[in-house]
Amino acid sequence: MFRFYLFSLLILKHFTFYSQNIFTDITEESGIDHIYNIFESGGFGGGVAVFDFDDDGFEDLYLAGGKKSGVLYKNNGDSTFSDVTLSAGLITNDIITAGATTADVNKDGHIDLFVTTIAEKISNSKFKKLAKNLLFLNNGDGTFSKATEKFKLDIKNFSTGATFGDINSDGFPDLFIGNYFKDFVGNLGVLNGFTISDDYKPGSDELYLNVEGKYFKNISYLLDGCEPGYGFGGVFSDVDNDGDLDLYLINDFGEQKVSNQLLINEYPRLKFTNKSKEMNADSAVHAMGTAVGDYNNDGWMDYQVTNIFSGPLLVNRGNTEGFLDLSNELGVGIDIIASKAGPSTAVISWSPVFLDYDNDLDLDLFNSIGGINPPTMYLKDFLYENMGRVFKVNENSGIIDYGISRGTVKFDFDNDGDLDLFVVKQTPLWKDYNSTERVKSKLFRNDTKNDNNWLKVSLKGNESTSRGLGARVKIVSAGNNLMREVDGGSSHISQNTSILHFGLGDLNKIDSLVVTWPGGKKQILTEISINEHINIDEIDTKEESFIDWIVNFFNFAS
Amino acid sequence: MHLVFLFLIAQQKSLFSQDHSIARTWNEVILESIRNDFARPTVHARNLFHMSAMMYDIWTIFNKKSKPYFLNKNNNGVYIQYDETSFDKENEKALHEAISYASYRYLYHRYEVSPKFKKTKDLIDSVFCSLGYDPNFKSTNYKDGNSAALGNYIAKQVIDYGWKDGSNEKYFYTNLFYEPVNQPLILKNPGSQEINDPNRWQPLAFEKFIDQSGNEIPGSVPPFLGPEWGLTWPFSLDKNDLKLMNRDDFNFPVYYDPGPPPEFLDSDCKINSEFWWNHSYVSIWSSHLDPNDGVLWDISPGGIGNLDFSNIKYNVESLKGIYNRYDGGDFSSGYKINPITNKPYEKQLVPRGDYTRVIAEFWADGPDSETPPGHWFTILNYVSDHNEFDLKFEGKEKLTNLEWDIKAYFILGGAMHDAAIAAWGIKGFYDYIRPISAIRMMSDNGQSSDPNLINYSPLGIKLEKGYVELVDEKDRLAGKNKVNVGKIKVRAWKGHNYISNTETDNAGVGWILAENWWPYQRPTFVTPNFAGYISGHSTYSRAAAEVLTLLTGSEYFPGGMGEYKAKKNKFLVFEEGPTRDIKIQWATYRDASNQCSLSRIWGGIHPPVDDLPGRVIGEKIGIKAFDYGKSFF
Repeated sequence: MFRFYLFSLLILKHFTFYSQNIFTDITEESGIDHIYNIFESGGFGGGVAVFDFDDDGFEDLYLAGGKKSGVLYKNNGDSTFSDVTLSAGLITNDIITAGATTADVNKDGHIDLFVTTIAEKISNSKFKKLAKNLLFLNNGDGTFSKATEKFKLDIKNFSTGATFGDINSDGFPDLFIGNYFKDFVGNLGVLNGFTISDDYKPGSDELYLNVEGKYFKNISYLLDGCEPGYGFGGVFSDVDNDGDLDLYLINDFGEQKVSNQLLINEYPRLKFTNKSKEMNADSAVHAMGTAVGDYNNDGWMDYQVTNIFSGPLLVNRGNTEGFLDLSNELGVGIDIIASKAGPSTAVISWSPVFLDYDNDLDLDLFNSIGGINPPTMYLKDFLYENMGRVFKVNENSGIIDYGISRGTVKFDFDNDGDLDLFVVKQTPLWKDYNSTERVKSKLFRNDTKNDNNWLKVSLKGNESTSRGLGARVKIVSAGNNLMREVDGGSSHISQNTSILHFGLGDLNKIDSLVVTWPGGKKQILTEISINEHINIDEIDTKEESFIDWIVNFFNFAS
Repeated sequence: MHLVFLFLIAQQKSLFSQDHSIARTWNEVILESIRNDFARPTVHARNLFHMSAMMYDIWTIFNKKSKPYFLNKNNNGVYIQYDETSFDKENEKALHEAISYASYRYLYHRYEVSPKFKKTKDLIDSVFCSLGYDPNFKSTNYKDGNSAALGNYIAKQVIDYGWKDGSNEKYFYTNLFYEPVNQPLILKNPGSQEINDPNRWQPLAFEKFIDQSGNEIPGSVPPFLGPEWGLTWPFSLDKNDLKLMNRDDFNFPVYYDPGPPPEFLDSDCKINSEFWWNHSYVSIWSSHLDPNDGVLWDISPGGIGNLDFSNIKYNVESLKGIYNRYDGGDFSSGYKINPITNKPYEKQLVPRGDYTRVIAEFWADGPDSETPPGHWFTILNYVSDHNEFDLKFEGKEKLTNLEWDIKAYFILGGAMHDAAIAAWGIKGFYDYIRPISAIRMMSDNGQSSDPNLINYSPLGIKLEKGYVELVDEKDRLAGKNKVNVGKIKVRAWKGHNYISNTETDNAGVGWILAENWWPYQRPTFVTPNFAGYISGHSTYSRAAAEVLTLLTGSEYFPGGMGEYKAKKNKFLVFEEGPTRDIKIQWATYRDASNQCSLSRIWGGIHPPVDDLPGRVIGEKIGIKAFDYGKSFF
């Protein structure tokens, strides 16, 4: 009897050898030709933001440029992209751009662009650290207008990651900006170690309240208990399921200076309470980026933070019990990449992105891997497949190259129902003599072949922000509960698609769909078709109570 | 791949031997699953127990006489419903099917998150399919008398019970409160490095990285395994023996509190001699690991065994009567005759360095092993298979193979589970330092024997001629520019730096700097990743020895002798050896347990004060578990 079994085992083994790559590098065909030009041999910068700037149904890309101008790539809808930076009025030659995010700041229906900066030109070839960030208002006709000063965002800083979220549920996106240095004298190239000298003072982050789409009011004093840290931004997300947007902000060199911080929104009061320690969210690591996703479908958002070596995967225990870092237990605690040629390398991961790349109901996880710069190496970014209880590296991701990875975003650029990836690469310090092509930023098309169902959801805010930033959609189907939040800026100094994507496996029916708009208003839908991209318009039901009015009145007055 | 197949063939030969019960088959499978998992004895004790109790409960459904453990009663607030169904009494085919389906589902669940699950899965699948069962039959509706569905149902209930039992399985058994107070000891560096609190556990870092600026970063630091394990629902432990002991705002559940271990400082702010005496024991016994030092021991039960430690206290005065500090071993008398054969035991003279190394590895129970709780299941299976043992419960009633295995696993599983809960509750609360940290720390401080000698410190280790001395100028260890003069040296097993090939080299014993002292363990393991006080090995082993004694109705192994053969130059894996074939022998189960305890001192991971409380508490646990388990029959 067991002979028969051995035979069947052999067949099984044979089948597992058969495989093909999941993602295909189509950068060249797409017409995208980009590399983030580093400034002063430093490893900073390389953000990317996804938004449909021309409202044609195909999401476009804004890529920060560093020493060269940032670039706006229009998605032509035929898997090619065109550089429209010049016509859009987005040339940024005299300023060192780092990261990017988007939101409809003035609520005119067109998505605006916010670009973080670290230095500006002061004379012909001289740059000075600290610069004003850039706010570009979308005019709706393919052009943008600079509105930094008009919106009172004129503090000069060394800014890295920014994120939008509506903290007071007034429909206008508020803004958090992570700042790295207070100031910095010298060449950024000295920062190539796992520790940092006390001589380099960390920056204070900024929090802004959007006042009716007219200007931003600096409310950084609300960042309760947040000492200056080497900030790489953060993310607005509903950590405690109370319907409002909390703020999880991340810091590099957390072991030495200030750890990551969790600020719980006390909405309807305009107030944040620092619960970093209490909720065990104060990971002291070299935090580079953060991803939001309910990987175990238990109805509570979990967060991964990238790091030098493996970063924490903070599993939300729910009911304000706080977080547990289960990165090792969950199989994403990989510290070292063994190399066949030469010594093994410490993993330095930058962009974490939760995505269900194979549409099988559970969120998988992507981490872009890149050296501190140098070196360039033939490295695989990590694609972790969610196996149910743990993750496992998928060896057939197809995402492997010589480039130095930084910001990464997910989006479905070809609208075929699966999520594609864009990975920004930095110019290497060591010239790569073999090819300049192979180290450039990459567009990876998802070529997963299966019959799994899916659903894409766009939110159309009315009382809420235009794309419902931070809003949450839950779908229930045959006992499965899937939950997504609209990204206002996350990953490493970047912003993912604002279209929510659900892999549905073999489910062919959705029992119900619930939208929770920031502030807690719920909207329930049934009769939802699948394998489609649906739009959900916000229904106006909210009436401001007298108490709300009083609270808002006093908050604005302060 | 070939290896896997060869292994499966070998495995299946033993698994499907005619004499083995279906319970034994699945017990062998879980033991192999444990070997493919991390060395986490708490988790495996629980897995062994839940599986044994699950098989026992299914057996009671068919036996219709004994009371089940889980079914139709309130266990810690969980009620597992079983509706009486028309399963025929002693329908063997149905019983085998139910046990197999339950075991299959259960093992899949409990070992799915194992590092070598691929291997485990191949084994579980192959055994299950070879028995002729269908993995795709997933129904849990047993009420029409389907025994496969019954197995699926019971497994599901036991798995669900496990989500609630305080072990924190949901979050992979991670610690919810515990944080270590000491910085990790980077094993590639000398000394104990930074110890904030010398009474507390220090994690170990197995790698270090140096960045471009020359900064050292510790990599891969295993966390404390199971400091909150006392929260897990036990088998027979009694609330009257439980104290909630608060530290760092957490109430550690502690059963059988043995009181605190010796602290580093005495009341005069000098090194506490009880602390020193205990930890320096371990480096001294490390010097016994040389097979060529000319010391020969009779390791037969005539020479070693029959130790009495009743009324022991845990202070040095009392411990001195048990352990032989310089020569090694305990002051046991051995047995004049084998009481079963009425003949004297045949002498077995072997080098002490072979004996000590062989038992240090035999009982290591670390990586790739079935861990201590599993080890005692293999000893139980060895006894059950023994020609001279006839499966009499308590030495009286003869049972069938299956009934014997079912009942024995149930009680031994319960005892091992309780031992884990008690020992780890104590480990978590006292969080006591391990010898590798303590020996290096005391030596880093200097010597406390003579203020007139170099490198004096009241916090230092004490000098003991021939074992612990100072490096002088002429010393081979003095080093370049005499940098090491005045440092502490110990005569001990020299460590892995002296072994390049574990099949041909042995490190041997000699003088080394105390700052480089290593336990006799694998370089990838070094010391288990949890506090030392109290010894898990001692607790498990003594509890198991008591269970085996009561189960079989005799304290002696069948025929008055248990035996294990260690082949010359084959058996040892940490290094080359032993230098000749050796038989590990025990007259009684307690002798085996005592040997296991001592082996942890030679293995460099426990001082005497970790060991004895474990034995004393283990004895209580074993007896209690047996009485409680028997009450179900």
